[in-house]
Amino acid sequence: MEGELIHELVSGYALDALSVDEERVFEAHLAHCPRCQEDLAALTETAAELAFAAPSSSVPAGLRGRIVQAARDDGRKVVPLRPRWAYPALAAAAAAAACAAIGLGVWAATLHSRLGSAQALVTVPLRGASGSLILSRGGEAALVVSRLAAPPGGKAYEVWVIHGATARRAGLFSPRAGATTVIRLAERVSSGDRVGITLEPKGGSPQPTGKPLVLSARA
Amino acid sequence: MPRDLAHLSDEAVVALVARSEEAALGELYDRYGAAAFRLARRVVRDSALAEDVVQEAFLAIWRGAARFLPERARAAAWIMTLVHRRAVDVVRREQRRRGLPLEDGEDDRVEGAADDAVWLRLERERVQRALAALPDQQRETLELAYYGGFTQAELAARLGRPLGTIKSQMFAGLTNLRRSLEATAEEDSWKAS
Repeated sequence: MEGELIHELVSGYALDALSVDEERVFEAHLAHCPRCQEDLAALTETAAELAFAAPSSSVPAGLRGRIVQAARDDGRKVVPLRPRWAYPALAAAAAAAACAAIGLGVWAATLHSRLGSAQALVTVPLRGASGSLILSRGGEAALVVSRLAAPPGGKAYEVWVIHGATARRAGLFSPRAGATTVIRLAERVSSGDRVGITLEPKGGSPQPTGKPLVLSARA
Repeated sequence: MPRDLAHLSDEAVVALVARSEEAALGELYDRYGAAAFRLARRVVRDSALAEDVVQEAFLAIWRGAARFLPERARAAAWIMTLVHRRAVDVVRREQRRRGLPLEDGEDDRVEGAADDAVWLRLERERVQRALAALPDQQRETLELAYYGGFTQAELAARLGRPLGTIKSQMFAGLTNLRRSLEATAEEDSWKAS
């Protein structure tokens, strides 16, 4: 199995859809094929996105406690992980000519009319980026943004919930350039608050260091 | 000194897990536990088995966090990859589950369950939308592989298509999905107009 065929195994590998034998063949190939390492880094991220399309269901209440307890009981035995994360990921694969007209930016821009009352969510417009601030009745919030540049090296975007003169930290993120991104806010948003995004050092700042690049209307 | 974990990036939380901070593991669960459980349940089609999968995966995160390198992947993708791998191992072991239809159980139809976070709802819709735009056979191949846990050879037999066709459809499907998830807003607007 050589030539183009073996490169095609990368998608099966990213989706955990190879037989055990093929997996071994591909891993041996991967160790010395920069092209496959690069493709795998990109396609593994894409495969993982599929996780988020799984249907909703209630999560067992005791699971969190059992996990933390299991970790406590476990001590610090270091168990080797599967080798798939042992390869150096190179730069993300260069974008080939886009051929699938999906319109996620349009999705983001039209959330207002599409969510509305059906899901009991409120959308608030943004200035500085395409997208919306989405709020539940209880004040739980998420941002959907596109058209943000990837942050420069050593920097990340930080989200703030702004109430009067105070700003509360609500999360850090680093989108791929221009891609539509959903950001979970760590803080609730109350009526009258705004949500802003600033560029900060990678670990975040206790308070915004500049004017917001993106600012929502009042919630 | 209590640490304000909620304000940290996913990758910073993983770094604290690597230093054996239990609270950081809890924080990671608070962010991704529900998504992990739903993925596991979708693949293994059983809540009790899905719980085991998620618990095993989080234990692997606890043990392996020191090996996670943020410059190689996003933490969310790393977590979901660990969960998916274990779920697929379980469903392949439990052969009898494989025959069950991929259609969702009844309670799956309740969109926006009480504990459904806003960002998860939005993520689900974003990815479902990108999936829906794929050509039918590409989407079918991706869904059966990822959610059904079928290998390419099993899919060829099940769908009555040559193995080479399945491989090409899977490659094209995943590549197209990547492009649509990464499509920039400018591109989208241009295409919509």
